[in-house]
Formats: sequence, structure tokens, C-alpha cells
Amino acid sequence: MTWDNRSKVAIVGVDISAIERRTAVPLGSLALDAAHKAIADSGLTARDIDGIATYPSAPFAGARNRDGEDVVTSNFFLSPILLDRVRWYAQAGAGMIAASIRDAANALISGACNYVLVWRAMYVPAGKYNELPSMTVGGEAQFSAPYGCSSPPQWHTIVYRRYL
Amino acid sequence: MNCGSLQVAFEGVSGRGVVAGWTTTYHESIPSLEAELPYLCVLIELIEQEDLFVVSDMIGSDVDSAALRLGMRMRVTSETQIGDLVVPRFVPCEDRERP
Repeated sequence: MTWDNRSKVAIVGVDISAIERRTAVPLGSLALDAAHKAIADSGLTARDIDGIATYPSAPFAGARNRDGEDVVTSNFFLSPILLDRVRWYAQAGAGMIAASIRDAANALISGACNYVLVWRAMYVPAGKYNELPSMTVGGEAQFSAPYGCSSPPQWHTIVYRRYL
Repeated sequence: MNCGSLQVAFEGVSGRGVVAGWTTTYHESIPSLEAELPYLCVLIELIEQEDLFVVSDMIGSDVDSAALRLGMRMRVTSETQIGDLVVPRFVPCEDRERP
């Protein structure tokens, strides 16, 4: 079965910010840097961008939510100083950045906008990646963390083994 | 029961299933499990329903990753109790057992 909208949308530009360790540069500045470079890569300008989508959640438990510091939400990019032509935006709550790319594709197909900027901005704190020092967990983690299965590399590996 | 129904409730299961995936963890991220490294996490698909999965581990088992196969029949063996918490673990089904 072929998707009806196959080849109707495309990724036209891509870029990445500097990747730094223990940086003093705010996360929002890094996201802006990547966005400007990606827009330039596409040959467009910021004034062409009329849609934005992101998955802003921090990749570790206990993160704070200061916009532009701990996370970079759609609201951060909605500032009229940065992008003043936005008429569609989305912020995925699950599914990671793939969900935002899906959202962007659907918005473009529907005609809600012409060019969507999609970004994923995140950092991990000092210490061991995905460390779970607590002896108790709630929510979804209660069904996996007690078995030592608490981090994305483990989740991905289990699924990837099925795929193989 | 119909797909999409909001009439949901807990139901008992047989504790039988098949191996649907696994991974070996070498990196310590949970301090209380440091002594168990490296350990195996397994994904079990219960026989009651397709795509009904349970995560477990093989800590304390003599089954290593080389012995695991996708689709291998498993049954729940012990329910390790930690305080009020029940932590089900699985072992391979004996040949004479039906899944």
C-alpha cells in the first residue's frame, strides 16, 4: 500500500548547533543557532517559515522547565522577533522528534502552512546518563525500571533486536 | 469487547508468553542493580493477546542471552516481593509443558 501523500512533502534543509559539554550557552541560543543554519541550508529565510513543531521534553527525570534554558518549546520560537509569519505550530507530548516531523508533514499536506521549522533541543545534566538513583518510581516507569530497564538505549535495543 | 472501548478493567493472565526481545545492560544507571551487572532485560509477549507485552529481567536466572530466541516460550516463575511490590520473572517453558 502506498501512502496517498507520498512525495508531497520533503525535508529541504537541515543543520545542527555546536555540541558542547558543560556549556554556559543557553539551550535556546543553541536551538536558534541550529534553526538559522537549517533555514539557510534550505535557501529560505526566517520570513518564509510559517509553521513550527518540536518535541521539547527533557531526556531525563527531574528536569526543570525554564523555556530557553532546560527546554525550548514552540512558545520560545513564537516570539515575533524570531519568526513573525507563523500561522501553524505544534508541540508533541510523546513520540520524540519523529512525532514532530509527522505533525509537520500533516500540516503541510493539509495546507495549514508552507514551511515548517522542526527542532529538538535538549541536554543531559552532569553525572551518569539516565541515572535513576531513586528506589521508587511511578507512572509508566513502574513497569520497567524495577527490572533495570530504565533508559532509552535499552528500550531501543529491545525493539531493534525484534526488527533484526 | 470492542477496540476503542472505554470499558477497561484489570484481568488476570496465565503468566505464559514468548520472548519478544531482550538486551544486555553493562552500564550502571540504577545504583541498586550495580552488583547485578551485566544483566539481561527481556520483553515478554503474553499469550493472551498480540502486542501485550511485559518487561522483566533474567536476574538470578542461569539463562544467558545466547540461549534466548525470539518466540521462545516462557512462563512466569517467581514473584519476587520487594515490600508491597510484586516483580514477576520468567523462565523458559519445559518441553513437556504447553505454552
